[in-house]
Amino acid sequence: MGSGGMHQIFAGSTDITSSLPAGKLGGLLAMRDSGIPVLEGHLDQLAAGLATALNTAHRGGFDLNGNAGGDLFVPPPVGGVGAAGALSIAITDPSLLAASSDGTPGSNGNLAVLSAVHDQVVAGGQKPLDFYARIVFQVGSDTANTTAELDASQLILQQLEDQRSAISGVSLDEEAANMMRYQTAYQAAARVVTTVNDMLDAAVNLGRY
Amino acid sequence: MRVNPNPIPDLLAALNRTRQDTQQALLEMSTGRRVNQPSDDPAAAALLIDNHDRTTFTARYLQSLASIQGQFQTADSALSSVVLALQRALTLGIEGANGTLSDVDRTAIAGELQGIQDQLLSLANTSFQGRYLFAGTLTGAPAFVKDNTVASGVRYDGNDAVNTIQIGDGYRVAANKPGSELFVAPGHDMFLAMANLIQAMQTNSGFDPAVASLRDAFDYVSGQRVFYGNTMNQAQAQSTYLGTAKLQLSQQENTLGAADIESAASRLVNSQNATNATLAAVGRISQLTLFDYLK
Repeated sequence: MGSGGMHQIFAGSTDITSSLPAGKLGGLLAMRDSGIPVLEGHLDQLAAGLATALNTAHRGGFDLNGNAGGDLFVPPPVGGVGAAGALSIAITDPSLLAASSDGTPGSNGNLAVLSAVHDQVVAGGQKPLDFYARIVFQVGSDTANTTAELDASQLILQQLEDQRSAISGVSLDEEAANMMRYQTAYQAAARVVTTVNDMLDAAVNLGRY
Repeated sequence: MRVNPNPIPDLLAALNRTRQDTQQALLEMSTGRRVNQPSDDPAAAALLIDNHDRTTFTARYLQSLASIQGQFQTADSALSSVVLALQRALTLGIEGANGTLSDVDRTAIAGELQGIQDQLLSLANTSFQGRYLFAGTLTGAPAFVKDNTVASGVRYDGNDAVNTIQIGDGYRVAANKPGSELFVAPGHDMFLAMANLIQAMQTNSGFDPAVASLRDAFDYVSGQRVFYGNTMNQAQAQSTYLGTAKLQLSQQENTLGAADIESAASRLVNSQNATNATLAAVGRISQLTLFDYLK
């Protein structure tokens, strides 16, 4: 177990986590250590930007009691790390919603300011929705690319295995034919030995008659 | 050329692919959506987010329109009652100016006028869902209160603020008209005109200017009803427009993300046929070899 609750891989006592660039394990590690953290970073950036912008807008108004508005969201952590996970509404009493722009209970002027955040630059130089759409596009495009690459690699692997099997695969027909060939050769060789033996036999018995 | 003597792994891979195709086609048919996850079509997924955003906003505008409609109807009917009451007061005023009436008659008319004055006060304090409609944005307390220190006997406690409500992209309409503009506008104060008429009735003098100023107040309040009529017409037109926009957005959503059912069904049939054919082929591959003929 390493930093941040992440598992590390050891060979004996050596940490080899960073020396696993490929394979299933390599893919999982790359996703865990670089893919997902980047996406988390983007979500944090969006959540922090949105919460800060809405808080600013909210503080510019007045609540139902005529008091200046406070934070609408719990302020995101400095630097934004973990902002998406920690995003939560700071007020629980609806009368603390700063809808009024002048402190009168019937005014709705600040709602326009709050809803204008929709068209404000809040994260990465973009409006909240554009930024979010970019994240979704990125995830979708990465997944689609990876799936296509996986399909292609599987086809290549299959073709290579076919080629290898075509050269080195065991064909029972071939083996049977070879066996017949070797058997015939063996029989022929045995016949030669018998013939030579017969000849020697005849030669040895030449003087007897 | 020597061929791969063991085709089984290839056939298994092919089966796997056709089964994946079957699953994808089934998913599209059962959800009715071509884009079930961002990777199905990243560009369409990003566009769908924008589409959902605009759909949500359209629904909010329609909600805002529905909520101001009730408020406007209440306000309009209150104004209409005010106009009727003023008309009655005007009739009484002209009657009272008739020199043949006795003091008793005029006192009776003054009493009836006072009743109308009270009715006007109550109408000017009309509320909708607990909020006083004619108090500007100080909607938490009655807009008008009795106050004998002012000439008309009625004091305005509201303010001059106007709320606007967004009912379209960059399209805002005023959601209220403060009582200061409707009932006690400088030179057209209906409470003052009423008070003057009551006094004329009691003192039997100054009828003509009192009746004239009441007539003016009557004309003025009648004219103010145009605001509500206009805004309600605008709201109606905008409602119709938003309904069309909603339909277009949902059509656009269909174009972007809906499944082509015919295509999905034909892919489903094709992939199932392919699966069946592959399975049949696997079953029929001859297991005989040369060994089977060596006896």
